[in-house]
Parts: sequence; C-alpha cells; structure tokens
Amino acid sequence: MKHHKIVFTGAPGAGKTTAIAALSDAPPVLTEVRNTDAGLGKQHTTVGLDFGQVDLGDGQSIRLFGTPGQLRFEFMWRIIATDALGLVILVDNAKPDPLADFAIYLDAYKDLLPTMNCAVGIGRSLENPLPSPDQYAELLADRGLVFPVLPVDVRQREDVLMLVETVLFQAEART
Amino acid sequence: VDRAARVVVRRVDAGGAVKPMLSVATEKAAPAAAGKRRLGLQAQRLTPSDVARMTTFLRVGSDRLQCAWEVVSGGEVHVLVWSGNEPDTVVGALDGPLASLQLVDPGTGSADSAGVLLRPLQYEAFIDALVALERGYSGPKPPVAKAGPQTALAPAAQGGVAEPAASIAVPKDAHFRLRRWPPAAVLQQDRYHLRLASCMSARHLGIDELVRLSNVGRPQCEAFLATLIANELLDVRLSATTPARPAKLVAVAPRASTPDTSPPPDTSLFSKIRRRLGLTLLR
Repeated sequence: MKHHKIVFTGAPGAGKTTAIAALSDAPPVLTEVRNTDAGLGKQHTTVGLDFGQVDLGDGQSIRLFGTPGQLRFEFMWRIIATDALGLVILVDNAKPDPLADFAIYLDAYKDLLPTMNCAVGIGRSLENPLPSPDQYAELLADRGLVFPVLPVDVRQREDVLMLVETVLFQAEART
Repeated sequence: VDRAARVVVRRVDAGGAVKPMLSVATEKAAPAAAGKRRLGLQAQRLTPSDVARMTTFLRVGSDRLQCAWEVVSGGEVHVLVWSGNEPDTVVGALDGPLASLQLVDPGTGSADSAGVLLRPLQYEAFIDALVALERGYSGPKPPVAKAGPQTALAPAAQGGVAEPAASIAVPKDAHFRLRRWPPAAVLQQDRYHLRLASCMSARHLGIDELVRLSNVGRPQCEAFLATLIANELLDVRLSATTPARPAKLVAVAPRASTPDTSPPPDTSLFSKIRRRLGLTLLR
C-alpha cells in the first residue's frame, strides 16, 4: 500500500474544497461548519481538513487534503503538507489584498517550499485581473522561489488538473 | 493601470451590460528593433480566442511588419480592432485611431466591406491589413536610441517579450533552470511552454532531459529556451558543473514528426497518476 498526497491550501473561500471535489473519486469528506465570520462571505467553512482520494490501483492512491483556511489553524498547515507529493496554493483575487494573503502562505510554508513541488492558482481573476499572475510570480521571485502561477477557475476540472499537472512535472523533474 | 501593463477585454451582452472576459498582459509585446516605429493596437469586445489569435499573429508576423505593433489598452491607439455594433471611445486618447478593423462572424452582411475581418481571425488577412495600414501611416519616427549603458532589466521584467535574436544559439551541453516564473506574455497560454517551464522550475535540466520529461519536440524546446534566454529568465550552467541526473523513470519518447496516438508505455507513478486523472503527455 502506498499513498501519496497532494495538499490544497489557501485562504478561506479560495476554492480548496471545490478543487478536491473536482478530482476525488468519491465525494470528499468535509469538515465544514456554518460560518460565523461575516468577513469570509460564505455560509460554510472548513474547520478540520477536507479529504478526497484518487485510486491508482495496485494499492496505490493519491490522497487529496484541503487545509482549513483560517489563520488560527496555521499549526496544521505544515503538518498536513509534510512529505506531500505537491502543494497547491489557491488565492482569491476578489479579496481586498490577495498578495498579502499569498504572502501569509509563503511565510507559513517557507521551510518546505524550497524543495516542494508547488503550483499557485489564482481564482476569480477574470473579474479581478489585478494582481496579475506576473505580480504573484514577482513576489515568489523576491523570495527566491519559482513556481507555476496560473489563473484558474476551480469549478472547472480542467483548471484543477492543469495545476496538478504542473506539480507532477516538477516532481518528475526532481526524481 | 499602467497602459503598458494590461489589456482588459470586455464583452457587452444583449442587455448592454459590460462583462470582463479576459485580461492579458501583452503590452510592450516585442521591443522594437532599432528604427522601427511603434504603433498601438487596441482590442475592444473581442473574445479571448480573438485576442489570443491576434497576439500570436503579431508575434509570428513581426518579420512582415515594418512597425513594432503593440497591443495597448489606451493612450496612443493607431488601430482599433473591435467587434459589436460600434467601437467605444478610446480612453485617454487625444486623437482617434487612424483606422479600425471590425471582426465579424461569418454570414453577417458587412463581411465583404473594407476594414472588416471574418472570424475566426486568419493570419494572412490580419497581417495583410496591418501591412496595408503601415503603408498609409506616416507618423513621426521614433527617437533614435542613444548609445550608452543598457537597462539592467530584461524586457520580460519590464512587461515585454524579447524575441530571440537569430544569433542566439541554445547551448547543447548546458543545463537550464528558471530564474523566475515567466510572464504571461512569454508563456502565451501554450500548454507546452507550461510543461517546459514547470520542469525547469524544479531544477537545472539539459535539453535531452527536458525533451524526455515534457514530451515536447526538441525544436519547440530549443525555441522556448531561446525565448527564455532572450528575456533573461534562465539560469544557464555548463554541463561540467551540473552533470545530468540519470533518469529513474522509463523514458517517454520525444514527439515524433507524426502524432503518436498510443499512450506512452510508462508504468511509473507519474504515468499512473496521469492516466488515472485523464492527463496525457501526447501532443
């Protein structure tokens, strides 16, 4: 039995649960509760972690984890991402300061990122074109990091797959 | 918004509501060759597909064009490419555009009129139209570049894309790694560019490794590498300092001249994942 994991992280409302649901064989296991934080602008939010799975056969599987978005769960983020095949950071461009949100996750994972296969998905960028993907790439470059930065709509499976594919190429290159 | 940073394409629906459709950073598309006149081209109410074609044609057709065309979002607009009932006012422009090209769907009444191009936009028709407009344009010549120290920033870092000069040869025995994720104008929403860039974001890779990992043809790899080098986006190391890492995975054959329709006979973890998720390395 060999299980690999891909972790989806990002601010509340960035689309982690939706992205996992787009890939998982079965409906994902969710730990959502009714949201009491009006600032998040959504009815439910994840307080534990989301879990989905893709069975590869031969006893192997890809486990998909979604981290809880709120900053108070930061202690869980790195635990979940340790030894992951890849990390997908989702950012919501409709938020007031998406670059600052992004920086929070770069800080939280800073010890893991230099050797991590990682992709950055920017959501709601059609309606909110700024910051541009290039600005996110610039922020990464300032920290000495180079990861794919792609505008995505996580409701579209193809977009989520595109993020995963870039992670796989990195993983394969490092193998 | 810096007019040289972004184009926002909007669509007006039947109710008159303006909906943003696409935003692309395309300005300063290619630094003008010395002595080339810069002309601005603005897109209005075009679909993402229209804009993608137009941007690609401008790059591919740059040899045929006498001027350095830039897609701009305002300011000095020389040509308007638009769709819909009538073009909008060019925001920030002191003078109206010199010309406009309307993009229409096949079967519409005005399809045969001058200044009208049919969807899907065709390379020849589009470039021919720009060539004709260039002949009629006699605007001021650009300032002659003064000799002096070059700017420290690469064109890509300034928001533009440097075309690889013909003299740029991709070193065969070198290994390449991205210094930063390429700007959208360099990636051009090309899935093969995305593959190549993803591989080179992880570590230094030689061309052979890159071809094998990405399953992108060697000529395309070399062309993309040349573009990245021209834009100073690559860290290049000679092979003597970075020996190629032997691949542990079963090699995926590089792209053949004729498309291969059978899946690669690879049983590695990555191939399993790709097969399971419906991803494919085929062209």
